[in-house]
Amino acid sequence: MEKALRNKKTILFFVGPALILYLAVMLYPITHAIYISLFRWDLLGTPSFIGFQNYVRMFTRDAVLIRALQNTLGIFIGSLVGQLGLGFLFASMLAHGTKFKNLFRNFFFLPAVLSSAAVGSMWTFMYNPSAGIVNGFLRLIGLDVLARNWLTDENTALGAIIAVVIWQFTGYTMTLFMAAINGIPQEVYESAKIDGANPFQIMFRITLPLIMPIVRVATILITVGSLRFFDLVYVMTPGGGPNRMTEVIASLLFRRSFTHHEFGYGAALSVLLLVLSLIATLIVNRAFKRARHEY
Amino acid sequence: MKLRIILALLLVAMLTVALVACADEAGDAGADGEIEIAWMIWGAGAGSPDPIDQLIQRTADNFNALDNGITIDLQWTSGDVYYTRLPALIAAGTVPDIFATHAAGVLQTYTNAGRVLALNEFIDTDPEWRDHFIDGAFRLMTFDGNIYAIPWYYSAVPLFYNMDIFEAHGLVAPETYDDLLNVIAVLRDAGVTPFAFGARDAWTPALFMSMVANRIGGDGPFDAIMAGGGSWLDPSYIEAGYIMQELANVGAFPDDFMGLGADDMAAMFKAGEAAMYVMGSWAIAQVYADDSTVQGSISATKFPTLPGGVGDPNVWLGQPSITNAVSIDTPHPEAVMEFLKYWTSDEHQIFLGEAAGQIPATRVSLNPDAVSPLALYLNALIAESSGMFIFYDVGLGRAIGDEYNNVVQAILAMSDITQTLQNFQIFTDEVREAEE
Repeated sequence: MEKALRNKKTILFFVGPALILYLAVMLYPITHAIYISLFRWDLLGTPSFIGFQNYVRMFTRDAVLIRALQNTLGIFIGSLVGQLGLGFLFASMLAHGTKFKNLFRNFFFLPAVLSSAAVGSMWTFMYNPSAGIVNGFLRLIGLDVLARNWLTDENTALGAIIAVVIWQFTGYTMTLFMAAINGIPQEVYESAKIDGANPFQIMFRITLPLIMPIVRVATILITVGSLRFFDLVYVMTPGGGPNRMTEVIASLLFRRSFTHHEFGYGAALSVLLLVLSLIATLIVNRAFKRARHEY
Repeated sequence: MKLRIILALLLVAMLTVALVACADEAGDAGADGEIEIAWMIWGAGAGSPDPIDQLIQRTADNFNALDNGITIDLQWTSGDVYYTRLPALIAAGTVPDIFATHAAGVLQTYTNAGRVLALNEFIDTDPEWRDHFIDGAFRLMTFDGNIYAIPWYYSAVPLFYNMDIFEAHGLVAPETYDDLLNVIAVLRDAGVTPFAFGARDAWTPALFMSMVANRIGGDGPFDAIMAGGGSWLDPSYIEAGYIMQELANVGAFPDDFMGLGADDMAAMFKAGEAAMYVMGSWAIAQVYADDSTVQGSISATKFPTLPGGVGDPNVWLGQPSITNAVSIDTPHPEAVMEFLKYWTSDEHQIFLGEAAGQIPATRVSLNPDAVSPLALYLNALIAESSGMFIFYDVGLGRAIGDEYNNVVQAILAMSDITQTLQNFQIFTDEVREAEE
């Protein structure tokens, strides 16, 4: 068996199908997108070659792109802080054996398995200024002055969406952290308690450093996921939001390609997104290189 | 062992369900060898309160009730995704046999790609049907001598206003821009929203600005652009941009108008929450819809003139509204034509004119008592028209036309007008260059 597994041909045979699938589904479309970004194409006619004009336009004449980049950054930072922070907090509280640990974990995780489109529809109703429960609740507890048009007010639209993103995905991060915390041997905690550490010190000086690899994984997942985030934004603010205040790169890409039939420009935007994601991942990897603790 | 069997059975069940669910639908021949024709149109569907939507559903249902071996499969699509979905279907070659469109530049994109059936041979073999259409009915859907769509009704854009609100504040219908500013000021002081207006669906503010531009500069600038020349930096467009921003600044529009879409605007006006509404005459159908509280309170007037403007107040923004085009791949052109003739038959055209208040595409005589007063009044106004120009996004086609909508949206967001128009001109030049 061992011999068979080491045989190069066998390895190729086992890896082959997955590799072909990967090339077909991942590599080919990416190369094709880079290729198409050099053309102007409306899907029905023949593509016409325009060189780097799409990129020139992107960097000099597209005011909405700057807004989209800002918004994408906003969602990225909001997601990172919200999901890592809340996820770690909840995981720490639950990991040490509350009676209903599994119940809570499932509850928090539930939104993550819901379809983003369904979540978006639901929250659009909840944010409805007259009939939604967000404003209804604020009015009920006497905070009328805080009630507003969450999704159509330029100042709150993006924040409202970030809140839903955090709501949907914190459970996912929390579950990852819980699994990681479970892997820490009890002796570490026992000796910490003996040494008189209080809960905060345990959380930040012991738990956090020991689960750094998982924090790194979670950060990469959140980074890549939030940079290319589309579903909730498109469902909750289909027109790009008030004054395009909730347009992100992915929704701008979709609008340019499918609504305005400029597939070349959309492809150029997708290349931009690819480059941004690669840069972000490199930065995250660099930042975590130094944090490696063993126990 | 038991667990294994259960798991295996579960796997088989899942796979079966997946295969069955993904099975292709039956082809054109339904049960009993019926010819099935798919018809795609925008609208709110069978349960819509809008009389035009109801009529569309009725034409399909009644045609299916006829025993002629043809079944119409009516596919409703939401208006805001219609022109996103249609080109994708056309490009994939799976577009339904009949699809609704606004003709002109929008249709031309598809005819240029050779995806639409030319209908001349069918029209010429039935001269009685052909001559029943009003003069020039096919003008905006004829390219290179080929007719590519059948019109249903025409729409024009007036300024609708709520007579009750106006009377309550001692106002009369505005004829000039100064009148309009006065009306807006009075209404704002009284806490009434002057215009049902939104900028989320970019075409709605676009039609408003097109009217302003036409009142300022006349037909010249847009005609030049339609002919392949002209310039978006024409003074009438720059001035129109300033007017739009001024209107926004004096509170002519609802406070959160940037986030309001076409449906929100209609709902606002139907509920009597706004005094004025600039929209195509299909809005008459909205006013008389089942859920409207303003039936009977609405009147219409021509769009006001602007100071120093050379535009003729009797020129209207108008176009064929719903037209039906036929896919070149349809296997049943004769059956399709039979339906299209039924669709434009007098009973439906008369309904469009009387109950929905539209301008029918065929020569039908309407019973004046059955026509809503609003429609009668509007049709009388339009009858004196000295010209009509088309919606920019329909006339200019998807690339430039849609970008125009975006430009108006950006201007309303207080962007620099000259800069925005300059970028738009560069964009237009690039698109034209690429199309050669």
